[in-house]
Amino acid sequence: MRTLLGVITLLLIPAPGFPVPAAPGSVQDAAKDGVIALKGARIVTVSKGDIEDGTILIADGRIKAIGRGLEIPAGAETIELPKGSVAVPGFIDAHSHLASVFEIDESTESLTPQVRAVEGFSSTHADVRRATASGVTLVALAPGNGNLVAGRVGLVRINGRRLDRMIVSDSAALKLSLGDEALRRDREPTSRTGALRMLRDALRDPRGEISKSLIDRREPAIIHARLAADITRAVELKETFNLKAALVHADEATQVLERIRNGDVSVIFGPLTVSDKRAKLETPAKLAAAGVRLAFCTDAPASAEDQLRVTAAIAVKYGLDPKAALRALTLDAAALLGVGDRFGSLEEGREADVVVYGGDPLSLASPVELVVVEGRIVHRKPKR
Amino acid sequence: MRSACALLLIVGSTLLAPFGAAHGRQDPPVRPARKPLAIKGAKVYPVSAPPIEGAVILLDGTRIKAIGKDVQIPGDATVIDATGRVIIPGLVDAGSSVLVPRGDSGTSGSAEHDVADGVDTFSEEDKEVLQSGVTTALVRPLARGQFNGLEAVLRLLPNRDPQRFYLRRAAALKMTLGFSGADTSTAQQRQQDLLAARQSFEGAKAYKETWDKYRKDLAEYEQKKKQWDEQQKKTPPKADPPKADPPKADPPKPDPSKPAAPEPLKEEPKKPAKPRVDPRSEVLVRALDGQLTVHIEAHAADSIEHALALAAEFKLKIVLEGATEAHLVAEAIAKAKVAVILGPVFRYGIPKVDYVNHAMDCAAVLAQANVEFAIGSFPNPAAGHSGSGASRFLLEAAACAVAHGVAPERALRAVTLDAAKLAGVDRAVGSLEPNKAADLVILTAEPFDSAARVDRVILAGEVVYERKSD
Repeated sequence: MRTLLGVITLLLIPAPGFPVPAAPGSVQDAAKDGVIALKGARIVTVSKGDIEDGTILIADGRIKAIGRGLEIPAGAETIELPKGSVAVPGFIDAHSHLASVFEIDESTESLTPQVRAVEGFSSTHADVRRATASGVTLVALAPGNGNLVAGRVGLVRINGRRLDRMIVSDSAALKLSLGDEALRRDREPTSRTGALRMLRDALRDPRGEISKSLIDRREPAIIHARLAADITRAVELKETFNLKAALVHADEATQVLERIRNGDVSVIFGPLTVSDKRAKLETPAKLAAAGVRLAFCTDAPASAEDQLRVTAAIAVKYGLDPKAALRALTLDAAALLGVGDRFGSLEEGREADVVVYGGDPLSLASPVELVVVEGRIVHRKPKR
Repeated sequence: MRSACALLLIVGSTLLAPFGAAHGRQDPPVRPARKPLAIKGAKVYPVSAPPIEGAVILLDGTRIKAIGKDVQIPGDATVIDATGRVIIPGLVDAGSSVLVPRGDSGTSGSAEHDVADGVDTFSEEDKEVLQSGVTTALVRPLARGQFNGLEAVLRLLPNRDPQRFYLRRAAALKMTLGFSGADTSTAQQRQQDLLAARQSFEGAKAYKETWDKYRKDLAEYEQKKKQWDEQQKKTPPKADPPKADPPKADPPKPDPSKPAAPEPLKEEPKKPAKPRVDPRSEVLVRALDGQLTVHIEAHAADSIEHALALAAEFKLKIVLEGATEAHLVAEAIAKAKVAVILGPVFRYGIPKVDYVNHAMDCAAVLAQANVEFAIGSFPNPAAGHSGSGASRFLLEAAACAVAHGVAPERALRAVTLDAAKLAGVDRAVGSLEPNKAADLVILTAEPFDSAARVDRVILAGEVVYERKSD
């Protein structure tokens, strides 16, 4: 019985590039969870407009139906949401090292596509527990910036379960690093020019893992590039090899805004902190206005999952359209990570990762009322 | 001897004068002969009273003259129509370091250092802070060490009008337990910090006793010296006999109700030796006497408990600053009736020990435990902040408290009136009431609405910021 459930567990892990073995005894059965009906909130579907006073029916970890005046099946657990509450897709942190402090770089070599960030992740870390109440339900776990090809970006769900049930993918994207951090005295590359040569060689080698991932399998490249010059190189690389690419930590993005837009490169931006200069705080607004696809990140532990919404709220305060901010927190993040067909919007058939706020999700005064991940309630607002 | 006197004079003028002036300065001086300014049509949060829809606020010079629904607007008044807007008092950041030079964070402080001496009035770093609605800041010394210096309250007047810029000097003595500057502490260091603090206050107590004894001895000496001098006069060396002036009256008869004349002194009394003046101890003595509030920065729960113990032992008036783990010891803080200036609300960077249990619901826990609190921005390098930028997000910090269950009115009070109270300037600023400072912020929406933008900032009766467009 246990092995059978174990097999089911394995099957439920949605197609990781490298299967992760299930830990014994970790089975918490999603299939047994009943139907949940969330009633009375304004639903921001992100993909198909807003639904006033709508209902979301959830079964088997997915959204079964969504709309106004839906018939609620007998036996369903109906949750009447408080007046004024707003349901949104769970937020997505598009670049994080959550609960993986000191485990993010393999620095002996500079091309380490085989490194998987999820393997440095500690699912029992206190920050993971805190993240459960943050409204962030999906986290892109990235390797650090210390290697030219740093490794695989994985996706974990903040679902209150054990590691094997948290991992959505251990290989959603490949992280590259163009910047000082990847240059070292004791191994190649020691210079920016050397770095570019190594990357081009790797992408031209048809048998190499890097070209297989980025060119054959079309996995997104998430490229760390702070300076305008590095950003320009990243866009050139993207165009030369026809990659799917997103920039991360693109501090000087506004200096090469046209180049980023014309190159069809997405930008993962964040965290915005209270100490940042005005020019940085205005960058998301400028990127979105230029038509660049935008996602937000915490870069935890540089900040924390509960600060993702703060980053978005600050961006809105400094000019970002609130609708664009919500898209960046949800569907656009999912899309650039290659999982836009499963996460980031509230539609029939999508993963049931729903967060209900007590009011406007971008108002920091709105409490997180309810967090549903994989169709299960993982957090309710504590009573005070 | 002479140099000691001079030192006393210096100490007296640097330490005591600001106190004298500070109390006078709490009320902003009235500057007459300016056209009255009336703001009408807005929803007003006076904070000290329930909100008023469609109120008129009449400003006369630098102060509020009247506020209410039925206030008559004088014919000569300039009128701002703020219909559809929301007005709150100018925000008070009770945990700020705006205009305090960054370099100070590497220095070591001492109790008698006055943060106002380091304030850079030529810097413009407070411009964006003011534009975010913060008009008053309790600035803290950035220096490290156990005693960091004296705090000051600034009004962020762009013209730096010296009469009004320093709302209060030597507002509090800032000290630190368990964590100093940009470091992180261990349990042993935190314990040692308490012992060191205790030693400092014991030292100050002894210093006070020495001086009390000296003053008593001196009074006694002066009395005896007088007696001695008189005694010497009565048995003067034989001089010229007095001229033939007839005595005007009989010599006074001894009054039986008065004590008998003291025993004649056998020898000349000795003047007591004057003790050394120690400026640091002078400040600590003021704290021991309850004339100076001590703001204790403490983050770890045990450090907070140490602060409470120190206050109880030396009968200090304290306010906790920072208090990251206050939610873990909220009951103890409530029981000790100690107030908290909480922050920073936003934390960045790899957690240092003192910040590891930082929680967004800390304010809510304090509110529930009935602890008096304000929220400050605390631009703290150890929490991943640099510069005074955090002050720009004071209203957002208060909004986060609301999300975790603090009532919106209470959260607003935490960045206005309660903050002013803990900075000791609530008679002058922090709420919109007649005779208080004309410091207010016109918002485009409710204070905690994500759409709220600062439309205008009025400081000392003048529009100091006006938003360009929507």
